[in-house]
Amino acid sequence: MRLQLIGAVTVVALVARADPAEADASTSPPAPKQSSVVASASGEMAVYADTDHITVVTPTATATVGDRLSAWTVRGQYLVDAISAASVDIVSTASQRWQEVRQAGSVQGTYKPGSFGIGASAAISSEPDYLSLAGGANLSWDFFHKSHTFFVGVAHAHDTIGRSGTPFDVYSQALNSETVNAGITLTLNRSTVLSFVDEVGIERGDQSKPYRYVPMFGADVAPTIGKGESIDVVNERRLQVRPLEHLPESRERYSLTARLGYRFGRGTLRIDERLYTDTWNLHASTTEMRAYWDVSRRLMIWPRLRVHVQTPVSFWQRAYVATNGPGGTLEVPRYRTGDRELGPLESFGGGAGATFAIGRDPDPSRLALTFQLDAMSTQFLDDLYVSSRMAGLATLGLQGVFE
Amino acid sequence: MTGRVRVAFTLVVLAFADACSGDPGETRAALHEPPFVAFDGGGSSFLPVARTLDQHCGTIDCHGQVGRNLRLYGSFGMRLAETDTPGCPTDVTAAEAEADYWTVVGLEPEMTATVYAERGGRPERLTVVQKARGAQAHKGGTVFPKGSDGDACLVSFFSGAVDAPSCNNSQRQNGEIPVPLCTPKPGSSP
Repeated sequence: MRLQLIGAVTVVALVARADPAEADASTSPPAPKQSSVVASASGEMAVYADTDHITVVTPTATATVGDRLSAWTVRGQYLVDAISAASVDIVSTASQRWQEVRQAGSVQGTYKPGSFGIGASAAISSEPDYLSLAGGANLSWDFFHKSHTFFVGVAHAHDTIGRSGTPFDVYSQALNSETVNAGITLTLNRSTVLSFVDEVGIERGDQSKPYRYVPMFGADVAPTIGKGESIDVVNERRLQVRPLEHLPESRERYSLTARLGYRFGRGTLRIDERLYTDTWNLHASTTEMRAYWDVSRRLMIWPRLRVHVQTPVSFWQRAYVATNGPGGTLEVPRYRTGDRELGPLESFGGGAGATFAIGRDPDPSRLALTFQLDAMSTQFLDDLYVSSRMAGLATLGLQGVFE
Repeated sequence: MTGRVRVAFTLVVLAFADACSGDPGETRAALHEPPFVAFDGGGSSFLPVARTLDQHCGTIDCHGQVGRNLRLYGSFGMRLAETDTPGCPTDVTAAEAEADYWTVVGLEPEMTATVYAERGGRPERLTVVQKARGAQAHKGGTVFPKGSDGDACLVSFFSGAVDAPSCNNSQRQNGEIPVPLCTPKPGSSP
C-alpha cells in the first residue's frame, strides 16, 4: 500500500510538471494559439505478485514530444524494477530471499513527413548481473491512398550475463541477438483493420542462467519423480551431481502475429493471435482478446482475456539422468534446464482496465488516469517443485498532454 | 483484398511455415573428469581434498546442507550414513569422499573435464575455484586465497595429481589438524 501511494505521488508530480497550461488556466486567460508541438508525459506504477513468492514493483516515467500531425515524434522512457524473490528455485538450493533492482531506459524517434517513414530506437537495461544494450531501425510505407502500411525493421541487442557481486571481467557470458520483422497493416473498411507481423530472431551466445543448477537422477530413480515433486523428495533422491544449466548456444525464433481491430458503436474489439516456433522446438500460441468500450466521454473500460499454450523445448525433461562411471567418467545430458518457461505450460489470464479522463473541458482526455488489474493462472505440466502459479498485476498510471 | 496483398500475405505465411525445427545434436555428453582414484596409487586420491573441503566448507551452516548445489558430507558437518553423527567417526568416510568427489566434478562437468584435459590449466575457469578464492561473490567469503595451501590442494585435484601435503597443511590450525567433537546421536548410548 505504501508503495502504491508513493507511485501515486510520483505520477501526480510528473503530471503537475507536464501540464503547466492547465495550472495557469485558473489565473490567466486561455491562449487560443495552438502550438505545432504536442507533448505528453505519464507516470505509472505497476505491482506484480505471484504464488511463487516473487514481487516486482515497477515505477515508469514516459515522455513523448512530437508535432501535431505526428510527422515526427521522440519518446523516452525510464523504469525501475524492484524485485524481491524467494521462489521455489531459490529455496530448493537452501538459499535465502534476494532482492535486486533493475533500471531500464529507452528512446525512440520517428520521422514520417509523407508516405515513407523512418524510425530508430536505443535501449539500455542494467541490473547487478545483467547488462543489455540494444538498438534498432525501421521503415514504413503507406500505400493505396494511405489506407495500408507496410513496415520492416531490424534490431540488434548485446547482452552481458554475469553473477551478482562479481565483476564482468571475472565472470560473464555474451549473448547477441538480431531481429528482423516485416509486416503489413490493412484497412479493410471504415471499421476494420487487419495486420500481420512476421518476425525472425537469431540468438548467439550462452544464455544459460549462471545460478541455475539442475538436479540429476539415476536411471532407475528418474521415472519415479512425479510432476511437482517436492523439494525434500528431490534433494533426498537426486544424485550428488548437480550441474549448471546448459542451453544450446544458438537459437532461431520465428513468430507470426495477426491482429484484427473492429470498431462497432461505442466500442472496439481487438483480437491478437501469435504463433511461435524456434529451433529448440518450442511451439507456442498466444491469443488475446480485448474490448475497448467508451462508457462515456470521460470513461473507457477494457476487459481482456489471454490464453497461452506452449510445448517444451526438445531437451526438456522433468528428471534428467546422469551416469557416474568408473575412473571419473561421467555422462550427463548435453543440454539441460530447469527454466519453467522452457517447459510445457498453459496460461490463462484475464483482467480489466479503465481510463478516466479527468482533464478540463473541452478536451478532458488531456489528463487521464488509468487503472488496470490482471490475474494469470499458469499450469506447469511437467515440472519439479510446482505445478501451478497464480499471479496478479495491478497498474496505476496518469498521463497528461500539453502543447 | 487486392491480388498484391494476397501474394504478400501468402509469402509471409510461407516464411513462417518454413521455419525449420533445429536438432540440438547429441543429447548426451560423456566426460572424463579428474579421477577419484589416482592412476598411480591405491585408495582414494580425493580423500585429502575431501578432508580439506569438509573442514573449510562442509559445516552445516554452509555446504553441509542437503539442498546445496555443492553438497558436502564429512565429519565436520552432514553425514552420509544415518548411523553417523558430526565427529563420529572423526574422519571423512570413503563413501563421503566419493559423494563429495561427484558433487565437485558435477557442478560444471564440461568445464571440469576441459581443465583436467589441459592438465589443470587455467583452473580459474571453474566457479568452485573462483568462489573459494573470493574472486566471485561467495557468501562464505574468501576461503582459500589464491596461492594458499587450500587453493593448491583444490587446484591440484583438477590437474589429476592431488597435492596431498598442501591439503594436509590447509587443515592445520596452530600446527595441529583439529578433530571434530563427537556428537552422539540423540537417544543413542555414549
